[in-house]
Amino acid sequence: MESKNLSIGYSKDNKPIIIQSDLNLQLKKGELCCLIGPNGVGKSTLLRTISKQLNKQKGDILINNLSINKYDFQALAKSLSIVLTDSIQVPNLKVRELVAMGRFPYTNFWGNLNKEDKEKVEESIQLLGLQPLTERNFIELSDGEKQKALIAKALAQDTPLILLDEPTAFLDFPSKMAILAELRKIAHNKNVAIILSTHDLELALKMADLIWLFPEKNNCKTGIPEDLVLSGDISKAFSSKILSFDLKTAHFSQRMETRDVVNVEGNSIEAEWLKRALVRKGISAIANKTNSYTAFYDSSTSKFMLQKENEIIVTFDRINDLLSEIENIN
Amino acid sequence: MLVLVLFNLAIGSVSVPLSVFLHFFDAHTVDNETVWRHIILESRLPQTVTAIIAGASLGLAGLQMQTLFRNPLAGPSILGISSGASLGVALLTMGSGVSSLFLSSSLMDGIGIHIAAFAGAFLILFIVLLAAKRVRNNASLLIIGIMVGYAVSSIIGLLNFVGQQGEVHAFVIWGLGSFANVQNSQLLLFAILVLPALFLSLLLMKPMNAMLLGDAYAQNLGINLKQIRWQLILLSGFLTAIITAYTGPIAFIGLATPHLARLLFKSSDHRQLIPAVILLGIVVALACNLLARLPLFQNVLPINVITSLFGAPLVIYLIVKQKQIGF
Repeated sequence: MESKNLSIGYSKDNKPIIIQSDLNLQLKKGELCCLIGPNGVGKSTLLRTISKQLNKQKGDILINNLSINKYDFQALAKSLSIVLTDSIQVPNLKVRELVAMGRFPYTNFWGNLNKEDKEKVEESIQLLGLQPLTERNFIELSDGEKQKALIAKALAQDTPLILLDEPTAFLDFPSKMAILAELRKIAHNKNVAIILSTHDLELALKMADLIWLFPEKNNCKTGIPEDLVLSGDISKAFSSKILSFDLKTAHFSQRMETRDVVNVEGNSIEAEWLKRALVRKGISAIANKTNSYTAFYDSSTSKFMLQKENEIIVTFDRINDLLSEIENIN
Repeated sequence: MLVLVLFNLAIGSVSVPLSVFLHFFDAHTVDNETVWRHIILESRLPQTVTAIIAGASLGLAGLQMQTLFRNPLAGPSILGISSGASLGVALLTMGSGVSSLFLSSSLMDGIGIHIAAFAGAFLILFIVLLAAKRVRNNASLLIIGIMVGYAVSSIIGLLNFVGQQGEVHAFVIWGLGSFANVQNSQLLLFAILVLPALFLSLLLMKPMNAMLLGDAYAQNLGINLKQIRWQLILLSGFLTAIITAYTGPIAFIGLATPHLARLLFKSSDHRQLIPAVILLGIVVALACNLLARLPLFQNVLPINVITSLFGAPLVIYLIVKQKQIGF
């Protein structure tokens, strides 16, 4: 799939409103591409434009080197499948029936499944590990299971391109990981191109073969995650007054005014969590002998210690007690 | 269903002895029996056939609207088409100061009412189809349909307000619906109008299934949304218009039958639902028609009294039992 000088947007009162322009994007089969960027930069608009639910404003989109203008709905249905965040509220729709709906573009006038259709449906169900759920009603599933069922449906549609809008929204962290790992496996093993939009930057950086980064305005960057991090594009796009992006850990942290400095000694797990607690409270925790406070964890007594200059050492059972002591002194 | 058909033929306010009914198809009848024969052939038979056709059509039209709008509250009357029929009849019965100049009183009673209802219903269907062409959003279309219904109802209200008591009463009676208004001679035309639309509806099972998932998914599965929307409004509107013209507005059957079908067959697959609503629509219509004529009531009750009075608690019971409902 590729786009040439593509402008996306929508029409309002017959006037085009362009959200992103001059997009020149490419994606090969077998690659998992994550579309990231802040809210309102046109991630969903791009996906809806590719799937022809929205008209493109300028330029062209090619699928298998053929402009999407040349595809009618039926041909497009065999070329790309979608997974959306829209909720499906159909009672009595079994998971197997939903997955089988992916075979729509291939079935006959009455929608009956032939042998090949049935095989594809079962294969998709197995790939996503949905065997125990096939006879369950779709609306009774958890959010993660629903997402998997919809991906299985898209897979049964047997298209070289799959688009997913926010497939990890509403999921807990382990489910997000699981879904992305599943999608990467599908992209690599079944040799399909997958584009998904997401807000989970850290996950995207970890799992994507390719990143399409949409910063605020008309300045789309593409590349593999590592290159985009090193070039500073990622931190430029997401950093703000309250968030800073840590290049080393790929984590975002809250920017804080630091008031005090406490010297935390040691590298134990407890010392690391003590540092985190101090940072959260706006206290800079660095190993520096010149500070007036020193805090450390004594593993022999399992207690947290705090020493002010050369006064006596105070011991605490919990980090919370230590924090309130520091607040009291100030 | 066969049993219901037989009961519909056998039971009524004039009791026909069972022995006569059972020997009905023997050709040799004595004088007394020809009266009964007349009652069965000329009154109960067309009434039963009308109930069958109306039940099947209304159930199907209701399902089509619920699937199109993905709304469990949608029914055949949701787009204002039956209100249109009412308007036509109201104009005929209560605007009589004008219309009686042109129409003989016999025309006012029978065919005239059918034609007036027909014209009103198709006027609204035409307006709704025009709106459907301009508005892309289904929710907007739904609201337009409901608004048209309101507007039409208020005109009817005005006619009721200025109408004379006898005329208003006649209109109210028509509004309560009846399967008894179709004569044997009209039955053929009635069936010829309805059956092709019923048949065409059967061809839409596959796209209707895709529409369950919402517009975006349906389009992604290769469905031409514009086309299917047009087809569903046209078919459902046509069926509703014809049925309302012949029987008056029949409440409840079109809304409730799809829910009954989903609850009983535990499926949302239109390949099962469409035959199911046709079958259940017939059963419900025949059962209501039978209840309306049970000899324990002095008179034949209006059909809408029965559909809503007996049907509503039944559906409430089923919904409460199932704890879920959808479209």
